[in-house]
Amino acid sequence: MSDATAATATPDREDAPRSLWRDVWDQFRMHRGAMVGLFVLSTLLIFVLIGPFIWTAEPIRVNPNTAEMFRSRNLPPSWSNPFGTDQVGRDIMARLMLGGKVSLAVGFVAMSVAVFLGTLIGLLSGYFRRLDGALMRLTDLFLSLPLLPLILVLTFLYGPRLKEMFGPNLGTFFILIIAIGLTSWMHVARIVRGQVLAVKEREFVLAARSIGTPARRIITRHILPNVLAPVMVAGALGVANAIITESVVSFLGQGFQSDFSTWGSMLNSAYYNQTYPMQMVWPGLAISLTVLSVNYVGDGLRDALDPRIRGR
Amino acid sequence: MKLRTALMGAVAALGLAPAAFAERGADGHVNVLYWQAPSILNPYLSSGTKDVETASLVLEGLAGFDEKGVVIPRLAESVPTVENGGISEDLTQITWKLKPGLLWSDGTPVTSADAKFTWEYCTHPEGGCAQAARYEGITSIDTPDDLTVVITFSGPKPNPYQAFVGGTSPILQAAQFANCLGAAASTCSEQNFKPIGTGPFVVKDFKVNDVVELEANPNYRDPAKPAFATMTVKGGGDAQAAARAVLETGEFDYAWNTQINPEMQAQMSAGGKGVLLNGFGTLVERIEMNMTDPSPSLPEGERSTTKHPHPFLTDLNVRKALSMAIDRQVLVDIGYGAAGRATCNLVPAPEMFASPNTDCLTQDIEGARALLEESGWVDSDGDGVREKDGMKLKVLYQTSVNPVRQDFQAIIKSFWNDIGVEVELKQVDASVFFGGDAGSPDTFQKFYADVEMYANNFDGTDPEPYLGQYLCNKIPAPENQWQGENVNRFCDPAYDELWLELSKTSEMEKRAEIAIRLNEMLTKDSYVIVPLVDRGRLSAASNTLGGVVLNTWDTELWNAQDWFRIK
Repeated sequence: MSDATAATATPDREDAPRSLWRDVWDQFRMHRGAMVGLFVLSTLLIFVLIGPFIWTAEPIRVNPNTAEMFRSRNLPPSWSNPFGTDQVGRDIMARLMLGGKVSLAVGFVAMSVAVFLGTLIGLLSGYFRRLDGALMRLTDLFLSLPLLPLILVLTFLYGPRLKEMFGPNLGTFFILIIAIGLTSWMHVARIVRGQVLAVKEREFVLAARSIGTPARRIITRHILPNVLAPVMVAGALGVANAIITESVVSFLGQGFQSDFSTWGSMLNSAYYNQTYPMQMVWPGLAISLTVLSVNYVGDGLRDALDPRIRGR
Repeated sequence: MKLRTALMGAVAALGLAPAAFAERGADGHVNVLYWQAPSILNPYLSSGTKDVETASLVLEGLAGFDEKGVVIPRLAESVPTVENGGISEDLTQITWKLKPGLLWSDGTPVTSADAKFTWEYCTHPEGGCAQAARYEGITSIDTPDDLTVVITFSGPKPNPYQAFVGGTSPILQAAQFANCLGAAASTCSEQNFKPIGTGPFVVKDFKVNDVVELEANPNYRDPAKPAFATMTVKGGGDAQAAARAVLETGEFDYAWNTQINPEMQAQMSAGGKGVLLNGFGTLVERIEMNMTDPSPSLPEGERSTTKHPHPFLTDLNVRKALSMAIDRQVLVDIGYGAAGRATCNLVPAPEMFASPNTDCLTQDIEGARALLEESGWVDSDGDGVREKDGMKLKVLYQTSVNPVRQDFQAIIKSFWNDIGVEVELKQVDASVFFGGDAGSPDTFQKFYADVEMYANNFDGTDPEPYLGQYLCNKIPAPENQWQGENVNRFCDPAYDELWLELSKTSEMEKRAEIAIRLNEMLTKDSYVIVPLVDRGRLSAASNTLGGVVLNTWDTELWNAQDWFRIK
């Protein structure tokens, strides 16, 4: 008893109680790459979210005054157009902002869909032995599908209906999210299943089961928190993948309306205007920076969420 | 050393100079680039331009077309007409006379039997002849003597210059192809890869889909031609690389179909090694208006059919306003440069068939707005979009996936927004859009959109079949598996009647007059078709290659026998 009071009276390091997320953040801050990644990603987010309120150039409409439009085509970077203008005289910075909003939104939302699906399927198949075979074969089936053609077919078949329901741009947004989400959950599912299989055999799960905790609660209270780390990492990497997939689909002309901008469609139109390679550099740079920083953030998260690494 | 080189150069120049004018093969070697490589040298087994044009160096017809679309004799002595008695009064028979003394490249004489054999070869029921259309309507070919070919048609043929005219229907040597009739046609690889011909060149070596090596035909009818002893036709790469090879690096003397954007045209021409040649045919980029309602709320099978007229595009003022709002010259400058010119005509050429109409060439935004006001389309709720009776002026504008077309969409959208029309853009993969699959909702024939943009042209120099596409009975509908060409669902009895008159008229001036009238009925009278850009062919030739004349009516290599080296 006196030992215990002595121990609480003289805490080792800090006075305030520490939460899990505080520890995670402290560890995350140690990872320099992750911090740089987070900084770049936040800058990009501010750029695309707040930027359009400050930089009000028209991203989609072409100037109907043809003489003016003609003079403003393919301009190099200047004060009035920091990133120059494109082949029909639209400001590239404004287009990058709009495109970034779309690309990032597609990336994050599609990733969320994929992580949700993957976690669900992984948990079910890892925890319930009877479902395991069927769900894992389904995962194998999806893994063996050629994804890009599948996405193209999905957008082709269901795109028109969604576009009718939600209007051309929102409809395309939904179909892209659904198509990308439906085709990228498999890795998450496999990772989660593996983790669940391991965690399931641990003593605390056994203990929970022995006092009659229902499966639903074991999963949500004991297993899910323990598999969260790899899920978050897979999710972060998934964002990068989704952004690239969106770019590919836009590049192939199956994405949004042709005058709407996304980073992928900007790359596409710049590709045919090779006399001005800078037009290709900007969206390319934006995609690479996003993907790279998201990867680093994912890397940092993995380290930070792993209690075995966190202590060191 | 320098002096010696200079002296040797002078001697060489002296020695070569006089030879350049007279002698066959005096100018050495010429390199031609067809970036789509030829895969066969028998135009009857391929409709690919690359194959037909390469083969035209070796195989020739009785006649061909010059750069103005005029028929010129090749193997024939002269071009038969009604006036010189070569064509019968009732237009059912045409008589060709071969030049006397013609030899195949193997030294055997060319006879009328070869022509008759070629007809039999292409019309054989078991052989899939790619050029069968050129022999349509022929009931018999007679050869009263070795130099006379008499073609009899099943009915009056106002335009009989089809069979044996142009690079797509040359004469084959009967002796060489005798065993290649019908189903055996495609198995005759020796014949199909190395045909014996009468043209300026002979195939020496042919690597399929890669390179054709040719040498001057020793039996060519003009002893002074061709000026080049050997020729290489190389394949591979793309239009851009091809243009670069001629204009910037000078590796090749001639490159076919170098369609590149205007910026690159300017940049590469500055290389100074060659020039871009343009020639204008009948290819017109246009916007087609849908006269029927494509609304998705209609049941499948009734969308875009004549059962439901379009809610606002049936209003002439709306169509005219949409056309008036477009600045065509800007489209040309941005999309095609030297390879295009603004046009108001569906039939821009040949010259005699082209309407002089240039009304549409000046953009008139104010006029377009006034027209819409006049029809009762006003922006009453201030959202920038005009409406009438609760219906908004909103169009769905579709085209195929293509960077130039997407730029056009963006620009035209801005013009139309400017006059108060809301525009939704849609782009469809080209293989689907032009695929003609009746099961797909996105084909240009089904036209589930208000307006659509694409390019089309007609084969040869006679627009009659082309104008015939806009008859009432050519409307695509579920009943004909959406296979008609009248994608606008345009139907005007007066048009049908006039076209029927055209098909019965043989006198050229009269035909031209009617064709111009028909063209105007579709364009400046009704604005059902809104032509934008007359798209030409663009090829590149080296500054050292002389005698090149770009021809859009026949093969581009039509006058390779006249090419020479500029020294």
